[in-house]
Amino acid sequence: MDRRDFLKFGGMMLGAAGTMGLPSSVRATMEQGYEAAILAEKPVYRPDGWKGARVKTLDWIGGSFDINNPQQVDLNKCDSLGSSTIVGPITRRHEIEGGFKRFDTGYYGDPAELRKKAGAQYYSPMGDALVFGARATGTEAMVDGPPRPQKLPIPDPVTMARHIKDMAMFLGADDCGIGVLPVQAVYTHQTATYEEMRNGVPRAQDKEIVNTHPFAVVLLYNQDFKTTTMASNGYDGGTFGSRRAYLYNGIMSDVLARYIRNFGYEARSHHNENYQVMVPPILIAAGMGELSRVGDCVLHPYLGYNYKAAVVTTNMPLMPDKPIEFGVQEFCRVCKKCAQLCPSKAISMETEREPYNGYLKYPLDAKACTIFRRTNPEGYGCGRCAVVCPWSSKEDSWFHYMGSYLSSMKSSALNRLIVQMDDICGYGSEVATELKSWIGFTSVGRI
Amino acid sequence: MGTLYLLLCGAGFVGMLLFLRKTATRWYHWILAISLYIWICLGISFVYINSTGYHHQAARVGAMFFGITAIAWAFITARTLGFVGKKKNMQEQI
Repeated sequence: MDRRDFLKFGGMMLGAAGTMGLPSSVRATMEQGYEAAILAEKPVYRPDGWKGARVKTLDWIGGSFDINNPQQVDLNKCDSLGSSTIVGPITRRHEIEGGFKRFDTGYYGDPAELRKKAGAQYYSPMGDALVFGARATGTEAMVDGPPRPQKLPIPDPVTMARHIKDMAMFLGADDCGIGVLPVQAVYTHQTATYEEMRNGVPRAQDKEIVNTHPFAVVLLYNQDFKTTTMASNGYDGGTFGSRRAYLYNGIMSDVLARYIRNFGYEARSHHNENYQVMVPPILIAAGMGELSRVGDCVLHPYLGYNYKAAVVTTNMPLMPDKPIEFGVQEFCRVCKKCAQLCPSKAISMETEREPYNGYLKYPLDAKACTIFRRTNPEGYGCGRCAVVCPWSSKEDSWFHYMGSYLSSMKSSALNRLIVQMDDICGYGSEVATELKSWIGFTSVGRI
Repeated sequence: MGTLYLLLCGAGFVGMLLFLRKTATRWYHWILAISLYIWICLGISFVYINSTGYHHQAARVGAMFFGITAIAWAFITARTLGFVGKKKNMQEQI
């Protein structure tokens, strides 16, 4: 026995002696206490650990949830999804109705002609490289597969949900939530994936989707404030941060889905390279934020818009989270900064939300937004709305927490004051020329 | 850097208490002095965080806002504590 083994053995003996010397009730309490302490630890972004905003947890979607009979929730039987009001029947959508899909399939016109007409002239070696890295995560073999034939024993849904979130954090997620999957969040049909297109399948191919998984695990990856906002000419930083997040989201969600399948349960990952679901309603259902003025985007109370999300749908028994609210509806009504500074004028300046596909949201001109992003003559991509939003235009600091806290108090006067202070301080409109030689500026070249 | 700043802040606070322990005789003297000190620390923190985060406009605005208000507040505090206008009063008494 060498010195190290001797010390290890001695330590074990001392520990055992100490434990044995305690009454059994104390030992049991200590073990339960440790386990309870571990389970009680919250990832830093969870509602009672939010930094800044006062986050309120709302009721279950539809008013109730039965863990013994988990099913997808039909939003047509509900009054609301989080803080979003449902006013009529909501229909499922085809993936091809998304802006980028429409642009790439020529729905808005010949893409090459549109680029030429707009004077698009920027190509990004880094942007292309990031997309190249992400493509491998979108094959059918990576996102889906048969579950292990024999199920492994798992703990109760509450503990397992906590464990899945811990695994998501371990894989690199900056936040993780679990929600009941809304029926209407699942696409009716899927277009061809990038791998299929490389194999000659046309983009407009229809693949009918059947997904009965009751739960959706949402993984958020921080786009990084410095990349998205500061090291940018106002456009490319958002694109780099976005594409890097898509790359890591693909990896995280594919691995997590495989991990769940290894327990014998079905799981399918959904991310930018291969979606079967619409992410925003799932984000709301999983307590990851509220629908905002940028009509299709969910604002996170800590990350703002500085994130990208991937989803893993599964039938593993998990205890889902409830939707949240933290004053976004009242803030967006007053702020309008994204609408004022949107280069394509795609975001509405309306004060009140309007009905769209059965729910209330601020109108968004998806065509104008998509065409601008694909044909931007001033830079590579866009993301200006994410940069200027007061919720995501500054890094961790006491004044950002204070602003977030005050914004979540749902006071129009306070919100106006905060927006004016934001404008006076110039947040969201800076260009950090000190970072010129970092990522954004030198990675975009003229075509 | 944050730890060093916190240490200096604490040391400065103790120094302020020692400096004012004989001069500040009323409760509102202490409130004025301590709140001024907190305000100055907030201002330094605001300017430092924004300037290191490349928010130069916010740093400039913060320096102006916190600086001007701190100077005005310091003058009021000094008058209240008798540091300003004290000699004139003594001369009038003589």
